[in-house]
Amino acid sequence: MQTEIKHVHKSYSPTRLAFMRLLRHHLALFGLFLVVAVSLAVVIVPFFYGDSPKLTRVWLGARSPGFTHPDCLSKNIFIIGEEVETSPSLSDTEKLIYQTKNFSRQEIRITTRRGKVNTIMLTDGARHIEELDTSTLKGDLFRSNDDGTAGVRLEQAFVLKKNAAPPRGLFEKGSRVLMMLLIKADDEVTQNIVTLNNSIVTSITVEQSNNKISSEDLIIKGRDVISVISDGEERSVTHLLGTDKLGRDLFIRILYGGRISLLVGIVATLVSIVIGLSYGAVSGYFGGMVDSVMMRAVDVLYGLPFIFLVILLMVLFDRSLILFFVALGLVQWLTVARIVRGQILSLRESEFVEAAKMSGASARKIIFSHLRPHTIGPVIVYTTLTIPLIILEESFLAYIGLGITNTSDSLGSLVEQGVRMLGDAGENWWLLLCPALTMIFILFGMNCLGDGLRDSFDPKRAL
Amino acid sequence: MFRYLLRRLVFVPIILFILITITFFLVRMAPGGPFSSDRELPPGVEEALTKRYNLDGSVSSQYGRYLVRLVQGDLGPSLKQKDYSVNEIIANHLPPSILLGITALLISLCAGVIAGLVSALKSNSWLDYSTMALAVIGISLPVFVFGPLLQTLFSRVFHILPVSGYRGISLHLILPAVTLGLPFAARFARLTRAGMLEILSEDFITTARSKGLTERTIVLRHALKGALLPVVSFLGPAIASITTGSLVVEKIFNIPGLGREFVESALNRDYFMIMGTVILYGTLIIICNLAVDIVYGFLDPRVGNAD
Repeated sequence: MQTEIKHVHKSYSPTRLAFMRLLRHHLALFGLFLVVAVSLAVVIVPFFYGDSPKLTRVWLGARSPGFTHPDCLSKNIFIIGEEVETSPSLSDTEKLIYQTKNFSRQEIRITTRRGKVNTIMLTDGARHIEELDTSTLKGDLFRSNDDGTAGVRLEQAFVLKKNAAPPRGLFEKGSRVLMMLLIKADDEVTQNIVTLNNSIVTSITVEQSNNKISSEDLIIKGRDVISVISDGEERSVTHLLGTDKLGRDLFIRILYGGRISLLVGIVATLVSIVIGLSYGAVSGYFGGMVDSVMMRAVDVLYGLPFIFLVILLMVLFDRSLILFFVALGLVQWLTVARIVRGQILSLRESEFVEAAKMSGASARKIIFSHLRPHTIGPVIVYTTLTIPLIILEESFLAYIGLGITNTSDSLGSLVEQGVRMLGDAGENWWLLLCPALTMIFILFGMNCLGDGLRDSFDPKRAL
Repeated sequence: MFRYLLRRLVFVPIILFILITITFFLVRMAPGGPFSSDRELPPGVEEALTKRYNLDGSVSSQYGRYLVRLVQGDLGPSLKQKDYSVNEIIANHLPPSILLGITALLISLCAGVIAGLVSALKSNSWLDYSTMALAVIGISLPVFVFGPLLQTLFSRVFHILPVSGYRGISLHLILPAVTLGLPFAARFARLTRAGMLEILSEDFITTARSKGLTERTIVLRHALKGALLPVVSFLGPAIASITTGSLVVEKIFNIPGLGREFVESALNRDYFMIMGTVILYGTLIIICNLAVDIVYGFLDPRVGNAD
């Protein structure tokens, strides 16, 4: 008997009650689990996954999930089996072009000037030329034996540096030199080179600046790769979800895509919440004339086809992450303003606000310290339901080719690529299925959680 | 009600004016122009072009001239599709978009409201749970995943429906309209269910029940009208997002609609075409919102009486 009475008199704060209701909402808990699991995976797993979303292996092409191949990163010393007829003197500007077989359009150009390395350029045909951080280009230099195997090591793991003398033997007249490039895959630039060096170098050309010698004259026809020397232990790489057309690992790309999508969703939602909360609170608190002017403005803006303005912004200006946040946040704040204003209007007349007014609290203090906590429920619900909406909106834009450009691809872009790569018989199905499923998991989880939260914050619901 | 309507009508030109002004100056602020290309134009040619297309003088004077012509119903020439005026391009590309949008809206309304009603009347049954789970999936499934999925299933595997293209009112319209309608059907279903459940717990329904009315009469006569209020109020935003969705659906199903023209024109800095499309869509959305409000006013007598 006594315990029953105790139970009846026990009271909880509304937030606590909502939390207790949430714990009984199975679908919401499932949603929460999905959201937390995907978010954790997206944030943590990339740290332990030895691959990068931008690391291309063109020679692989699109491979289905579970594809395994020898790891090129651990065996990243390739002997470029070419004999180099080096140039007559170091005093002139010289150019060494390492042309690769698989990527006839990619080459490294090393120019020297007065005996020193002047530039190291990685070119991708004529389109893209990248000047390398020179210190990251490393290699081993061997004098070749007559049978073509690596002989005496002239210089080990040398570093090509700007304005420093090139390694001994590189431009030595008449010497037979084997170049090996050893590149560590530790940042974006070097990863670009890895792709280059995993292929076979077929020609090394030496050019003199004043004396234009056609490169064909100097191409030394010789052996291709002589041997591959392993740097570390041999291991193989398994692509959990396969690779895309450029041989990029799909799993890691999805993880990074999820990061971008979640980031976009969360930040844009926060932007809209901050604007809408302040606007709605002010409008609702002052009421009367101020309220009707402010809300009329919201009505007017609500009538605008905002998505067209967002598309215009994305097309006309640099499609950066910041612009994206601003554009999508600006669209969504109107709803928040309306919700918060409605909530505040009904709270304004309540006794505790009267009490605060009586004790001389300023309008600012009342709005932000007394009224705002009571709007937290609807705002939390709104947040969880808006994040998936914005993720979807971003993916729409990505699909029509207006995604964010200066980051790695978002989930939307991945799905778009998947649709394009699908093929007539759906042979590259995993490229669409995997990112699409990830996206659906996130959206489904968020929506379930949002629904559950809405039910939980509804005071009419029984515990 | 009449005064309320009148006040809403007054706002239409104001909203449109704001929209036109924002778009006009936004487009002009953007780097690049309609005649900028890799090739350097001779100075005389560029001048002649700007003169011919009314792009000479300061931006504000161009704005004035544009407004004057706009009032006369002239949206100007297209700067990229020579020999066509914006009016002609819109006349060519609007019908597919409108047809697609209306079909999708009708499909989603019918499917959504029926599903929501069934779900509410059989609440907490397996039918309810599975319908609502489907609805959440419908909301979470991006259009551009659902579209190719339908294409693969119905055209490539079963060969029942055409993959893509546009032939007016025909079988070609089914897949795009269903694709476009799905997320809205899902939302309508959820709104109908929530609205119906709320109404059914009201006192006047209990009264009706105690009078011995049949369940059928209660639902159709008394509850349905109130239950559909949230659906009607969502129609406004829904119409706006259907236009966005149709940008994507038009691309998937290769429909020569206005959406693609809009994105193209923005990419090409086709000033008048951008303006024309935005004005058109803006007007459409504003009118639809107004219509929705009128319908809402009829359904809910509380609206408008306060004024």
